[in-house]
Amino acid sequence: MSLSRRTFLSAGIGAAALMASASCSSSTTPPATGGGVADAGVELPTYIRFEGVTADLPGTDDGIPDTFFSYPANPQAATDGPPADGSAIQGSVPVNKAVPPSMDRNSYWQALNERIGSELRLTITPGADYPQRFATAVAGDGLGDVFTIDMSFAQLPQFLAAQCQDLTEFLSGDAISDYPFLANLPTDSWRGTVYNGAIYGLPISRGVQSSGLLYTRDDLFEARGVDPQPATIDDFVQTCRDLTDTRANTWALTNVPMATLQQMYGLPNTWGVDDAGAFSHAIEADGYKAALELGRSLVADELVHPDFADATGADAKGWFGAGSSAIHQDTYSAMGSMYDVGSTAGEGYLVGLMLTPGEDGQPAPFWLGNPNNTISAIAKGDEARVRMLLEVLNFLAAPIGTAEHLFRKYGLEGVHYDFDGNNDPVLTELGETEASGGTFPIEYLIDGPRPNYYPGRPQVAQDIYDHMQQVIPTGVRNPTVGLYSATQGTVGGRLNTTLNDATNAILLGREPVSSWDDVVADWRSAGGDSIRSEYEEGYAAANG
Amino acid sequence: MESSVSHTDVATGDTSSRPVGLDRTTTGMSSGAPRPFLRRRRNPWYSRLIRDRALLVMALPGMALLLLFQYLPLLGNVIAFQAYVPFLPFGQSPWVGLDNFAVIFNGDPAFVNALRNTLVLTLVQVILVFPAPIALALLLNSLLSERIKRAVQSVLYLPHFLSWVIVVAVFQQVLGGSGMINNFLRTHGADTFSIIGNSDLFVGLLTSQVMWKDTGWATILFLAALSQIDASLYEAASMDGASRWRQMWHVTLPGIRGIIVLLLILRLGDSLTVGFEQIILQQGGVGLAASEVLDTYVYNNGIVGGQWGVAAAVGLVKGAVGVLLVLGANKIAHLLGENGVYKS
Repeated sequence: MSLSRRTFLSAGIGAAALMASASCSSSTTPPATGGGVADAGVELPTYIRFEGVTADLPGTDDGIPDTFFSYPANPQAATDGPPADGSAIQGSVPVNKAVPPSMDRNSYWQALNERIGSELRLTITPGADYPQRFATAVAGDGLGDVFTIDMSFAQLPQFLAAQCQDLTEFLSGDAISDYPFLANLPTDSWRGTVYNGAIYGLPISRGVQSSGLLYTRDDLFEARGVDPQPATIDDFVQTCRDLTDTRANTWALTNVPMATLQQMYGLPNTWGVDDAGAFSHAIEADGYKAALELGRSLVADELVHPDFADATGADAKGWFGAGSSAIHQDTYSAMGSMYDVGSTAGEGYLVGLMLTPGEDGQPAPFWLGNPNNTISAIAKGDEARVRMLLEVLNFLAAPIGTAEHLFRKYGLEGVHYDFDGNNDPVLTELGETEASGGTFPIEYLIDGPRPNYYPGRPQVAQDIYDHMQQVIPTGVRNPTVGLYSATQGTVGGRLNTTLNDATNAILLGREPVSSWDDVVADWRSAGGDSIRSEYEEGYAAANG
Repeated sequence: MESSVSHTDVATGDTSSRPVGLDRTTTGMSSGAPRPFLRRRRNPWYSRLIRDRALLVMALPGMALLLLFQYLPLLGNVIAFQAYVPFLPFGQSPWVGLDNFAVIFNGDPAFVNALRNTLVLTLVQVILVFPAPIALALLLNSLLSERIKRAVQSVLYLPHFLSWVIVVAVFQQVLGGSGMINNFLRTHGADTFSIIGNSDLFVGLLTSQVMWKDTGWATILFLAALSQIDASLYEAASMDGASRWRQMWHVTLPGIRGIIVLLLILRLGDSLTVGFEQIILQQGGVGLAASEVLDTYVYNNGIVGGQWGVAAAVGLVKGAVGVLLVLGANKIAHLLGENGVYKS
């Protein structure tokens, strides 16, 4: 959801860079989500759609998710009895809100344990710290039975093979029909769980909702009489000027939206591939320098919040909510938090979605995000234990419109939430803290397909649907999704740190845009070319 | 350390309440002379063990903690010689000899940059930060009113208890691009200035943060040392007509010389450690070229980049250099007739 300080630039630079938060923000999560050559051999789980609930606007084959304007009426239980066997289950997850109260002081968590049939002992770590927590827990063997994977972890396939359960025999092909709610997850998402020629994880599926875009404070636009849909790049810059008033300490942009600027110049989605199967990185294209130049001038003209470089994603969202900035780059799935940060802004608070203008005056080709936020995995164990854990995960993947989903997201009626007139669950104060405002971090162990649903804000769901209809059908995929590069896995983190740093230096005016050629040359020799050839190899094997 | 001090006291049978440092000096002077002290030291070790058993038992819990949390983890440094894979047991990662140390010996530009930044910061901090509490202590000591002295001291050492996150946030709220001062200037149409996120001022910013946070706290030791100085020395000096300035030069400073040297040596041991948390919080804006130091290099490579072996190798060398600096500085202190950290 949030693009953190370390990640917002990388979202522009390299998909792989979103390492800092495996947890959220995966507008373009690492390409390390597949087995490349190796996955040719494994049969992906069969997709069996759950037919129990009808959406108000059904999803499309392009990937637009099911849209709901209110919570489906009369949610029924879709499972019978607790899935677990009573033995305690240990787990590790990130959280992107405040860490919820611990189990002994959390009535929602206790009710969850009761429904699962076992004590779910979760170690919950703030999302920004999760990669570090994950790395140290791996070294100390402290992850537990089931845990969220940090996709940026070096030597991920080796780690999965050494420590995690190969789930192929349980989930491949029709075997998944034992777990109907896991079978309800889209095939694109399962593609990202294949490593070493086997299924090693479960997808935290986001579909197209992890794609990034520009959010606009439409109430502020209206107050200033500015059109929130600029038609050209020049219009966009003018829009930013119109929204900036430094004497009032307001700036148009929360930070430099490098991913969006690259889309304006029609750059490939991190990596591009031509008809011959040759890969090129967006940073190598001439358009990247044009994007840098535009970003640099936005900063130089004081159209970007002056503290952007050291800010966390939460800081930037805070500025958006408080109105010190009116445009913020984030993913579709961050829409909920766009309203959270504005909870004190009063009645008129209104968030819009900008169609990114392209060079030719048409909407720019839209980058599709990684279909998964991240994946989770199960520690090696005997068959009975693994099946029990899969039953629990199946239970936790029940889709919207089931009693399991309603409880999982919102807790107990009358305690953690109440229904409003529109049949939407409204969280109580207790629900906001104990159930993490509807995002209790079990959603990073597994989750159902993410619906386009915003309780109490049917118009928001409609706006998102409309935006998606315009950009998703012609969306640009990242060709490395589902491929794995060993070099990216080992030195990718270091390379991205360097690229981020160089980008920052240019945006802040410490280095000229022309220095970018050297940065790219260094990147190529330090591993970029190896990453390219590994992806090309994997791509050729996967596409014949 | 505590236990060995008590041991010396018992061994010499010294029951005076002289400061530990002085006590050690006098016993040191005695070496070579056939004193009772030396004859007793020739006692077989087991009889000494039995004699000191109560003290040794009291020292045991501390020793156990030290062993468990300080010495045992040192063994983990073997990963500096491995292509370490965190999910395999220690022994099973492949051994690579000194390969991980290549970044140091071959002068990896990122490493050299980190080393240079570290040394610059160390130098600036030893020159500017180290003397600050001494000067402050002398100033406080010259205040006549005990009440004002205490009040000033309390106010000055409170920032020590704030964590770096808070200190950095406070500095950003005041000096940042949208901080208090810049917002005020902007509202009144004046030019703003860039302090936070300005790589040219980064060393100055870090140094002033350290001074603001810790100077008051560091005066405590010096004030304690100052209070140990015999008041009759001042009386004698003023009888001889010494001015305040000469009293400070000839009485006060020599009186706290021992503690100054001790702290300087300890500071040298830390000299390659320059505020990891403080720096990592502010690295985004100023960039790695200006802000990467050895500790952040180890973090960015090891924890973030997954290059555990290289990170451990750099950390190990850093630790070894620290030990050598302490030993070396201590040796020099001994040659100059000071006590240093311990007696030779």
